[in-house]
Amino acid sequence: MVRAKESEPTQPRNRLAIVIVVLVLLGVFSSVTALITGFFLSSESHESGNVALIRIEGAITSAEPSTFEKGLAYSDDIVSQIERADANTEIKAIILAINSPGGAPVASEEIARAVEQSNKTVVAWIRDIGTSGAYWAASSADIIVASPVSVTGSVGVIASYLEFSGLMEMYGVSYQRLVSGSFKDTGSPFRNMTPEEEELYNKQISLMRDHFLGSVAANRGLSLSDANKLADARAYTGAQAKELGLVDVLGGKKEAVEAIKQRLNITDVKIVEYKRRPSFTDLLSLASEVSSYSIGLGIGDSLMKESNGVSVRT
Amino acid sequence: MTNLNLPKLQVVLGSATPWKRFVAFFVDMLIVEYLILGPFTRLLSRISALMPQSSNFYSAYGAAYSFFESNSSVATGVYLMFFIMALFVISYFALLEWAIGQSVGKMIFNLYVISDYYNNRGRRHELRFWQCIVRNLRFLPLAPVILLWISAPFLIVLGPRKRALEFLSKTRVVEPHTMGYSIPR
Repeated sequence: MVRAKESEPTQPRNRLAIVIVVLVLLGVFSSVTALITGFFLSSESHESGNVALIRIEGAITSAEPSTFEKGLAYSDDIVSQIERADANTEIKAIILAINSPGGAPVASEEIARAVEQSNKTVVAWIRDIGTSGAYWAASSADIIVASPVSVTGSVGVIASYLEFSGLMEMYGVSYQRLVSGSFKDTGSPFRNMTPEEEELYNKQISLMRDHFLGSVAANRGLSLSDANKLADARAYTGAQAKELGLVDVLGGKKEAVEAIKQRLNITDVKIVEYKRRPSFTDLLSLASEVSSYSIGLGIGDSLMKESNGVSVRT
Repeated sequence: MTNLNLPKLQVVLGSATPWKRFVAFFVDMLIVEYLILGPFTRLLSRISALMPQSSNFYSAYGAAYSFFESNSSVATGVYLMFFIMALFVISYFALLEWAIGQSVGKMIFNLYVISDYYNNRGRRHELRFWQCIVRNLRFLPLAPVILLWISAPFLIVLGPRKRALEFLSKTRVVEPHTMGYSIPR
């Protein structure tokens, strides 16, 4: 037992007023917070229209970009947007607005497969650039629309790695090789590649190229001889690509919409843009995003970002 | 006016009666549910409407699980929402206990939260805000918190009449008991 005199609880002049103030404040804050949370959670309900516009902009990647990484097309996001549009019965067609030089082979193939599996009419609209992996995704669409001056094609695979063993030698640094198999550290920047390793990589690149080329040829209905013309991986303008059968219609958004109207025999097209749903952390980081991104961009500009080993992109 | 030397009422603070604590808590939760978390519960019902419906508990649980698994952004949003809701509940208890030593439920049953810290002269410290926060962390949507909820009734009814977080925050819930009148000297 504790004596009351020792510990008299605080006696405010008006307890009821304090209770009311606390309840009102918490009630107001709670309503505002619920409103904001609800807006971000139910963003799907704002998606109303009959044609979904999905953007593929920047290098295609399968690794989720951080909040500060801009200009990347994350394949998971794009695939989920395609699936969302696919699941929406109001959506009759999808326009893929492509402005990408391609990217990781697996990420590109994931998008191409999602387009292929879509049960909606898909129109790929190539804007400034739609090459390599981006063209792979576009080739899975039912119709490809591109501007005569856009850049497309480049059906090929590129692999590169940095090798700075000479630089290390200059500074008296040596690479001590401890591997369980002779190909384990293939592509290490600390030593030259052996002819066997080079052959191994070239073989893998050829296999990837064959798969890529085969998919594009199958998607576009090209003959083997026509497909082999693309094997040198050169890029074409939209007009050239039309002649080669890589593009169906020359034009822009208007032509893409027109193609949908004709194909589905509809007159009314209402485009709704599908976007990555913002997460709560996106909301929180929004405030500091611009300044932090600028700082990061400054640092990033002065450093060349290369992975530790061979990077492969289509 | 004549200063009368009347007998003074002797009041001691003893541990709160368990049933009063439980009913007071129930009253507080009703207030929290309707006045503070109302907008969130409406939002949750909208989200649950998106899930596949099932009459059986186990299949409903499975459907909800697979819904959240395939909608990770919604799952993250819902978890964060629970977290925010928990912060509001903690704020309700912590603010009122810190300001007036009572929540509304405790006010009805004349229960007080007091600190178990004493100064050098043996006088009890006033409640500090961190103590009020710590003693209410049981509302956080974290897995180990379930142990606090399970242990609470045993500790309050059968044990030392203090919850685990009350030990940690060095606080206790008390009620005043009248012991009669002291004879003036």
